Amino acid sequence: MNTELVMAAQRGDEEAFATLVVVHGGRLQAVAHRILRDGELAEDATQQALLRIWKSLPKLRDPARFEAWSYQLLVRACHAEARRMRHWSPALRLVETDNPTHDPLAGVADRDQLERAFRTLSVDHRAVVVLHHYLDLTLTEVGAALGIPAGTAGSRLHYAMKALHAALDAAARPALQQASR
Amino acid sequence: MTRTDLDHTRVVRAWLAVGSEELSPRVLDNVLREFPATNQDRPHWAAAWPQFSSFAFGTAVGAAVAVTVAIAMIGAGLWPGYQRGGTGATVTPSPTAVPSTASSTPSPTPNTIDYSYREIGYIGLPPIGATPSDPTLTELVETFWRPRHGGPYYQGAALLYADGRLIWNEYLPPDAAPPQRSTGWLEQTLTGAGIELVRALAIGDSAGARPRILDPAELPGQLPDDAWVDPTVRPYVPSGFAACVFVTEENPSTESNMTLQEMLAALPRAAADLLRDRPRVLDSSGSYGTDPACLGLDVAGARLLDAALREAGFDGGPSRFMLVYETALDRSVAGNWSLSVWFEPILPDGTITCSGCG
Repeated sequence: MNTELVMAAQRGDEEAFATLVVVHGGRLQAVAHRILRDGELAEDATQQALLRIWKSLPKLRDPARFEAWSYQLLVRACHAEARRMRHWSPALRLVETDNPTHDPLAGVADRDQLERAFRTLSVDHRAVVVLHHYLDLTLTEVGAALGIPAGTAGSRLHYAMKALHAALDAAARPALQQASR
Repeated sequence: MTRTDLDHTRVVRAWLAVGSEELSPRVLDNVLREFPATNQDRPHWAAAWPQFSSFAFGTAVGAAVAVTVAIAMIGAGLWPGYQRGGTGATVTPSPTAVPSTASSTPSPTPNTIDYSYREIGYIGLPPIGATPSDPTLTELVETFWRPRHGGPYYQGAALLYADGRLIWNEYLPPDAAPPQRSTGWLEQTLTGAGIELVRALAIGDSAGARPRILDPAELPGQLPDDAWVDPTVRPYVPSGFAACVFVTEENPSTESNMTLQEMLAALPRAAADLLRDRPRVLDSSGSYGTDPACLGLDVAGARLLDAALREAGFDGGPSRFMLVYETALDRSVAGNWSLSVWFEPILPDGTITCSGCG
């Protein structure tokens, strides 16, 4: 991330912030989409996060931390959208799989089980999984991004992955049973 | 055979990798429109002069001097585009129609044209947060050309719409500020009576093939107050842009026979993805060829395309008349071919014209 752009936006430079939105906004929305598993909620969370980022940007003391800090604000916005989802949207939509060839290891049963298992996790747990396994952040970086100790990030990741692994085992079981007949 | 933890992790990572990584145009548009109206929270340690944390002391002193000079210039009425009260054009970036009542602003006399409108239009994309002209769609009543004083050529155009909007531009005289440029598209609003008065003022036979002649800059001195809903000259902010993609050779008489798909394939992938399947926009000027590849985008999409072309190293940016990008094509056998993308603002009747053809 270009720290000069961040510093200019901190000083109120609107063009600089617009560039940050164009450059960084897609990644934020991708993360929100993966945490919330809903395109519309992810768009709303991204919009809220970007406006919050603009508002709070002068308070960011280290511009080099912009990216990690922005994920922290995004996860907060995801929390808010998840609450709204519970109150107003009982019918959940599955995330679009616009290019299923990208997940050669995951069959239909795996995807369904993963969706279900992932949705049972809290936003905090989902965020750790997404930041670590999608953005490839280390646990220390995940902790820094979310404002939690690395150890807490690690235990959340362990809990979440255990649940997802169990779901995948459950998905594999019927296929194994069928194969053994 | 059972899956190991590593297998599970691979499946989860593959599952997470599926899906788009693009910012949706809706979010981009909303954020770019809303954030300029949102005040930033300034911590106490940066509240007074946030620039000081990153500026050298000399820069800060320079900034203070510049602010003092700017205040003095504004006070003396010398700041470009800034006008305190009075008549004529004022800098107002967000056009909003007001009820059809007579303006209390006295009209200037025919001999006192206020040329401050030359400083307020936009070349290229509108600034972040600018409100698009409203309504989006209306009917074009008539097109006029602006005469070049003392010469046979035209210098700009004026488009009159059924809802009273008069949208016009002017090519500035070559001696005004080289290189020659236009004012960008400007907007004023007439009443129903004003529409008829303007049509009556235009010179030439309305049945003729060529547009009739009108100088919008003279209208404030020619029309009564009740001809205007709002005589203020504002920048025209379109609701979208057409990206006109075309190929030219150094010899301008040579036309390329590349298809739209071939031209898109020659663009950077991010740009081509933004343009693929976009609707064609009618070029009412006929300036972009017989089958122009002018593809419609909303403003947010146009910003993304602008960024994609810039990032891919295309030459260009806001030019004399509009936003223009160009890159050389590797067509050594055929000659020196260039691929161009020109951003034309979409006008209120849903068409484009040639902003650089006045």
